[in-house]
Amino acid sequence: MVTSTDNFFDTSLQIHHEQVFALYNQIEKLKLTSYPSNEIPIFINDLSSISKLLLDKFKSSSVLNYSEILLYRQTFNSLQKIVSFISQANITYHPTEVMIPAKELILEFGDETLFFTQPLWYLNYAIGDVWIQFASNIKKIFPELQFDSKKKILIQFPIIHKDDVLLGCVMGHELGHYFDLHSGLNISAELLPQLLLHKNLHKLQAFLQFKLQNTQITLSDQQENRLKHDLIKKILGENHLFNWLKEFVADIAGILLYGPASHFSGDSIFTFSSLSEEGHLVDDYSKSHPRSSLRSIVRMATFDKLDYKHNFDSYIQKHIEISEEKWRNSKIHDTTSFIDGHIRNDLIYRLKLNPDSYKLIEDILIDNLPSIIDFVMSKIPSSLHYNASKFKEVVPKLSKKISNFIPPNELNNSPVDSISILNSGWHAYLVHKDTLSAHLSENEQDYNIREVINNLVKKALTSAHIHRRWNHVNFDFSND
Amino acid sequence: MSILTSQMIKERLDLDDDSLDRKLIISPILENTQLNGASIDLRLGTEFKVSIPTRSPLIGIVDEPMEQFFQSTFRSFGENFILHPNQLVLVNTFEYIKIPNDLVGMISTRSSLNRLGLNVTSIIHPGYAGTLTLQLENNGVNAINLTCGMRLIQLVLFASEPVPQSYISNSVSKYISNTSPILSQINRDSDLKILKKFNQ
Repeated sequence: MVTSTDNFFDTSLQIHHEQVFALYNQIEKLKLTSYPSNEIPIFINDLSSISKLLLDKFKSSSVLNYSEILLYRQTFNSLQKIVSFISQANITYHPTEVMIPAKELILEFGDETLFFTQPLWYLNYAIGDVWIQFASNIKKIFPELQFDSKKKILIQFPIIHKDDVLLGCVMGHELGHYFDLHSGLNISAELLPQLLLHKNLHKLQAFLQFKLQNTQITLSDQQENRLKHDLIKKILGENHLFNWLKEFVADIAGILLYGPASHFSGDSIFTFSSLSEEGHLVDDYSKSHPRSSLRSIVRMATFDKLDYKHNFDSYIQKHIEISEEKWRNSKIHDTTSFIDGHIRNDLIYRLKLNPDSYKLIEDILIDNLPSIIDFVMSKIPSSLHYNASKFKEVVPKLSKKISNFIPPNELNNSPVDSISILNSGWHAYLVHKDTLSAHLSENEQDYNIREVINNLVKKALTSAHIHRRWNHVNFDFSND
Repeated sequence: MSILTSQMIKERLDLDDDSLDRKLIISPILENTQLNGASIDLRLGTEFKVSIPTRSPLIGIVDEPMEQFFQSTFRSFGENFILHPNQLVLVNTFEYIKIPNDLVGMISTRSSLNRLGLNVTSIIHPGYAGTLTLQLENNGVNAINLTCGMRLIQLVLFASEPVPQSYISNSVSKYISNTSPILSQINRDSDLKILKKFNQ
């Protein structure tokens, strides 16, 4: 046991104290900024309390050994990471209008969640819980700490598109991940067992090799097949199959929640990311995401299931068909990779991933697609579903407003819903671009049309949101 | 030029979307009582541009971009904004306005706010589309506490002959359907190039 007469120990404590003090100062500076919600400053206060407790630890003589120092250092590193996430959650960087429909859906669902946003300098949207694991660990170290039980969900978005509410419709997909993974619905986890019963798991055994480290053990054919079967289930459940399933679920939920706007925004991003030198779209395999052409199939199947195809006008139908075709004609890079792993020290395995084995995995998902869509629809409350008949009835009228430089926030003096507003923005962008561009000066470009539409849609989202709240508050007053 | 009464304003507001060339757009109108007499009240918006001192000693007809003389700040609807004495602040209206080509608008502060030291006047051209940019300046000695969403100005509308070319087609897209406060465009005044030559 080390005593405080150990100078190196004291020096180590001092160094760590200085690190925590630097972080503490940064957290105090964060308190001086304006945030889009009142809950963020409360959260920052919680982070400040944690940093103060860590400071006290490193100042006091209660730290007894190096193991403790490392434990608190680990806590410090995790705390610093969370602070980095929230450091740009202030109002300057907050995509206010992009978040309006998302927050409305979460509120309707009934979740108590603190969302905060982090801008990125690359094209990516992501959502995740940054708090639950850390809070669980910190409670063990500092049991006296009291936190509220709210989830803390980080949303990352590309800063250059902060004001692009059309592209921000990707939030539909991200909310799909939220409902699947962070709201207790556990959609992918409940679907996975069914997928792992597919006959292709047996066919995938041909791509699996394993080796027992203990050469004295021999297995019968039956035991070997059983082992291979279980290994395949484990590998797929931890890697491609489960990851791709989660993306399928989010894509389906995106259209369910945000309507076709989810498709148009996602398609725009995939196209940007997939263009090749030869002028076609490249559709690569990835551990984390299914091929984009597969995702196009998922979205089309979802449109079918929700009866959108009978409710699209000819312009929108044409755009959907163009999107479908370009993904059908995309090129896949032939690639071979391996998943290597081990079970304790007893067994090593290798699964070969090539176009043949990838096809088997993809077919597991595609063959189950109708039931996956049905399951997602049944798990996400119907009050959150956007429907095709509303798209047909309301969106063209709102889109016409945009083509006349009017924000699409109301019909017949009543505020419309946020999802219809978003879809009207895409509808106007796809259908009324020529009308709008007739009003541009000669030296202006198409992206200026996008800016005009985004401004009108942003204004509509804010106005309709306030109008709804005003009517709601007014109604409460008049009934008191 | 005749002033539109509140009844006439309502008729223009209620025209259906097939008559968009004559339809007056003021959206959203949260309370029907905003229409009164011969004007309509408009509300304070939530996006502000506050004049700030910079390294440049001059503002106006200068080379520096106007953006550097103002700092953006935002409030929520229902949140307060304090306007200090002699402070210049630009803010948008909450409502989005689109004025047909045969109407002209004039805005002025509501008298109750005039009496606190606030004074806003401006003309809205035929065909204008967007939120209105208001320049707030506190002429009193006390700071004025405003609430975003409060009724701040009144808009009076006059009937005129239709203008041949609307505000929209005269503007660059950045200012078409603008929904943020627009800074002064004085540097882009077309006469300035001619005036420069006078001095050469």
